[in-house]
Amino acid sequence: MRPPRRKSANKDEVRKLGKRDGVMIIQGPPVAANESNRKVPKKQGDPGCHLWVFDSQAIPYIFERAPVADTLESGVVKHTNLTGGGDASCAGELWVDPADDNLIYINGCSGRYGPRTREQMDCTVEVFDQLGHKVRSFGWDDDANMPEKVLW
Amino acid sequence: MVAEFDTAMLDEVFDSGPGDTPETRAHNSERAYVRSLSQIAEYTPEAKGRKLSASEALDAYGLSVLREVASEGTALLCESPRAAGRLVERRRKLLGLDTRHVAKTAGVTRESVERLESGQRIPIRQAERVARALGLDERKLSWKAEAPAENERVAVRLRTIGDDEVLLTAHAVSAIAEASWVAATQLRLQHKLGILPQHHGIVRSTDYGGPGRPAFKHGYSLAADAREKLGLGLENPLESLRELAEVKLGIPVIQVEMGSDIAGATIDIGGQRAIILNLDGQNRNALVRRSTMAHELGHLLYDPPGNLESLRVDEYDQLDYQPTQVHDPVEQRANAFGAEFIAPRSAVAAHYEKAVGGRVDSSHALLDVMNHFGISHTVARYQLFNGLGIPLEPLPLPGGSRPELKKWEAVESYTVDYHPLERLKSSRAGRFSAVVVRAAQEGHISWDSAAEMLECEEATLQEAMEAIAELFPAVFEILHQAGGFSWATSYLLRHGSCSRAATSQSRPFKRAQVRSSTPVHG
Repeated sequence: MRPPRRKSANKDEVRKLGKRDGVMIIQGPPVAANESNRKVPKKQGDPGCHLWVFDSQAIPYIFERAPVADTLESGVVKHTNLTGGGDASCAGELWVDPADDNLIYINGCSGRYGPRTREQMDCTVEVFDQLGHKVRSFGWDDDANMPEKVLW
Repeated sequence: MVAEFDTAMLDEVFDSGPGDTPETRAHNSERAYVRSLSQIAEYTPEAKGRKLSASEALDAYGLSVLREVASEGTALLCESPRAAGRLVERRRKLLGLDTRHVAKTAGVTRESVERLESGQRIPIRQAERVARALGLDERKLSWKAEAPAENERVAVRLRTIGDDEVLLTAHAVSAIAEASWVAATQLRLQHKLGILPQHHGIVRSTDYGGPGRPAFKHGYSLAADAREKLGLGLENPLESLRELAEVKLGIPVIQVEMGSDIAGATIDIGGQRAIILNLDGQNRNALVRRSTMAHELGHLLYDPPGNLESLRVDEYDQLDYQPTQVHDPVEQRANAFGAEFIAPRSAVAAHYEKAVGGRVDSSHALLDVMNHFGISHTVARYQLFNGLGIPLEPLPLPGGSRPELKKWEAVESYTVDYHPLERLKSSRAGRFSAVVVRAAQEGHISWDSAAEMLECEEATLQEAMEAIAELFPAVFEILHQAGGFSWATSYLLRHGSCSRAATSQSRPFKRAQVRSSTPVHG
């Protein structure tokens, strides 16, 4: 577990969101995503994007464009909204396949809690895998030494 | 109106330092970035992608992208997984090249090219090499912003020329495309370094003659105009046309091997021009190459954009004709310009008559004219015919005699034959190499980028750096004159004036693949 890598731009970025705001918990398949929010992504931030984090208790996640986003100063949900600015071991984005409830696409794109090595990214995939999901990972970008941002 | 920038924001992006604009902050920043095919991130030693200096990253991707990197550690550069592949495939097909040819030119496998085109990820260094081989700006490959036009027009024109005008082999198309990347990059870096094209008051001319006033006559006038404005005198031989173009005019001269048909080309990239010279075929003879160069200067200095059409490719056959025998007025004018610029008729006539008057027979006088002006047999005969009316045919060279090629070969080929980086392609072995080194010294590009551009390891380039600076003192002296930066200043103080005459005698660098220098009588 580690604190966010970068400081927050405003107080709203560390406001912890809850169930009423649209935060859900990944416990096992299928992921309860709204039908219209299911997409196959091509790159970071594509429509249908959800943010997830591994905190000390669970894997909370939220639709990036949840209505609550409009009430936040930056107008977007950040990973720190899932932790309240606290510690997390990893974070990224996920999409739910429109045709297969159990198929998810994940990456490690988070400026605050993203994986730092290929091994961390692989472990993340394994966690989702063990929860029973079929996972298609964006993978690791050796050239940038960062989580890959494009689903090649 | 000058935009004001938030100091705190600039501090966040570039760290604190002197300057109040992104450009000055970036120039003084120690920050480094790394890019892959899909993103740009803060540099870490484990990253295998292209390392970029802050200036280089700002120049290529803009402040908003670097702000995102400062905020998130990374920023997306890719429009879609297919973006780079589509760009590469479109350009390759536009040039009429197959993937095998592109792979060979780029020094990657055919599989890599095909993977890239089909939207699969390949290492950025390989993707960049493919981009360069196609004349694309490797920095913008896959970038989400609209791909810049830049030398797109050159590629389009290459296709139309190949379809309608000149028989271009795949090898020649490939060489010209890669040369257009060298030219575009050199022009961009020269601009960063403040080495700007010098026009010397020369104005492009739409006058290609008309009834009673053929284009070639206007070519003669333009040659006199150029000699006067460049302060060359009306009678003097021109020592080095390559140096005249590169140093006095600030024009890139890219020397490439492109088969036996094409003599040279002039390209226009976003309003800036460069010359491509073929080292194969008749141009192996430095005297012929000087004529080709003079002809291309005629296009470059005087053709307006509408007549240059982004690219003019000249075949040897066209250049071999007397100006009066050429039908295309644009070529007729350039032919006449080339001959008159390099060896004015009046000067040739005076030199010939003086030699004959000194009891040298006409054949030896002809040879003397060739050696004095550094011109081929063909140009010498044409200028004697045009200046003195001496018939073209009965003017052979003395039996067994050949013009003095060594001197002209040395000044015109220069580092194409001798370069501290032994395996460097001829297209990059000219002034381009010095501009790249200086750009890296000044932080406009990273040493990683410089080494990639010069096809070597960073350590090898660091070792060769001073030798390259000695070979191209003008590139570094400009810095000195500007009262500029530490490295060049200390270098010049240590070494004093680096005249080329001094350095050329001590060039210890022999390129691994030395071109054949079989004399050819042009």
